[in-house]
Amino acid sequence: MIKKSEWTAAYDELSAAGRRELGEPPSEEELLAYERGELSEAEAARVRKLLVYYPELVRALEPFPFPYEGKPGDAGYLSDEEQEQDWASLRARLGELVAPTSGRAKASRDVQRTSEPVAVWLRRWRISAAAAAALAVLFAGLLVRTQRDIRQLQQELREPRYNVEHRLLLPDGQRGGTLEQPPIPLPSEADYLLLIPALINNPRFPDYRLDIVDLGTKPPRVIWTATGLRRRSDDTFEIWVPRSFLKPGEYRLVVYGLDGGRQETLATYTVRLSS
Amino acid sequence: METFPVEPDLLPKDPWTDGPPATPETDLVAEQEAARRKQWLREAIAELPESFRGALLLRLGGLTYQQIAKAMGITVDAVKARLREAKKRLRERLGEEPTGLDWPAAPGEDDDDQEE
Repeated sequence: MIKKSEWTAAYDELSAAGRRELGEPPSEEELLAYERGELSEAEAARVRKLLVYYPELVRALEPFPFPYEGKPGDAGYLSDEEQEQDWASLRARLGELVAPTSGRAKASRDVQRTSEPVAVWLRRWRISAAAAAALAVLFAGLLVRTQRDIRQLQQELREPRYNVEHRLLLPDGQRGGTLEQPPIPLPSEADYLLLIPALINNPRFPDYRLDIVDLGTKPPRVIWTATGLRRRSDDTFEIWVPRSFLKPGEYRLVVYGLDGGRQETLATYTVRLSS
Repeated sequence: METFPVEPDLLPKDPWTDGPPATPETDLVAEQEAARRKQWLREAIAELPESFRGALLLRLGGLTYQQIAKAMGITVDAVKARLREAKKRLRERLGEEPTGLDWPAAPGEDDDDQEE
């Protein structure tokens, strides 16, 4: 019994290897040209080969159907003669649009005279349509990428955390003989930093706020703030900080007690993060 | 040295499986076995001829038969035929039925894939 995860793992590796080997995906122009059948056989074969490893592009092409290739008897099938009539009718109508004063009868009689503005109009229409299609492909690609990122993020949020560097922080000025908090290393294998600021003999408040101030900027700048912090029974708070959020440098955590409109600074914690 | 038999109920159990507790050795064996199976499947797919492999990879990439047909410039029936052939070759290569995927039904059979 082959598990779904085994298929997925095999696919992911083969897909990655194929992308590495073949390189960049086809451009929007190439895709549209492929869609319209305008590429040479060699170019089309190259695009087909690439699409195997970029299925998201195939999905992005979905709104643009292939040229209709029906046969007599199929719903909506038009014979060559009917297509010719439709085309002539369209040209006549367009002739009226681009030369309204000439009148319908005149436009119908003299398609040749109106064919030039029609060609110009058609060319503009094609350019606009191609630009719109390219934009649609671009946005579809962006949408696919965004959805993939969101899925990845959601998956990460559901998974257990590991490689967490944690540190109990004592308030500035209350560290006994140690005046300065020892630097906290940010090891490369740690994805998260768990900071545990502790309060010592501070009164209880209905609510608490915590600011993280970057002391490396001039003037120091608050880079993160949050209220509604829960003070644990051991008088500490827990702040999970992704490693990517903090760079090596000096920061200050400030804890405030909030009571209605009143705010009191309870403790500050100066920390130095080293790489 | 005298040894005493231990009642099975007294042995610690794995809280997740209720079976014997996992040890670093059993974990390592299971890990190696999983890696070996993934490699075995990957190699089997990689050895398929390009046309069958392409159809299979696009299917694994989550595309419908219609979308695969579009990407490969072939008909939906040709896509299904390629996937059936890929399945047959994988079965021969792996020595077991390549389950776990929605394969197209054989011609003439009811195809439960209603996407087309």
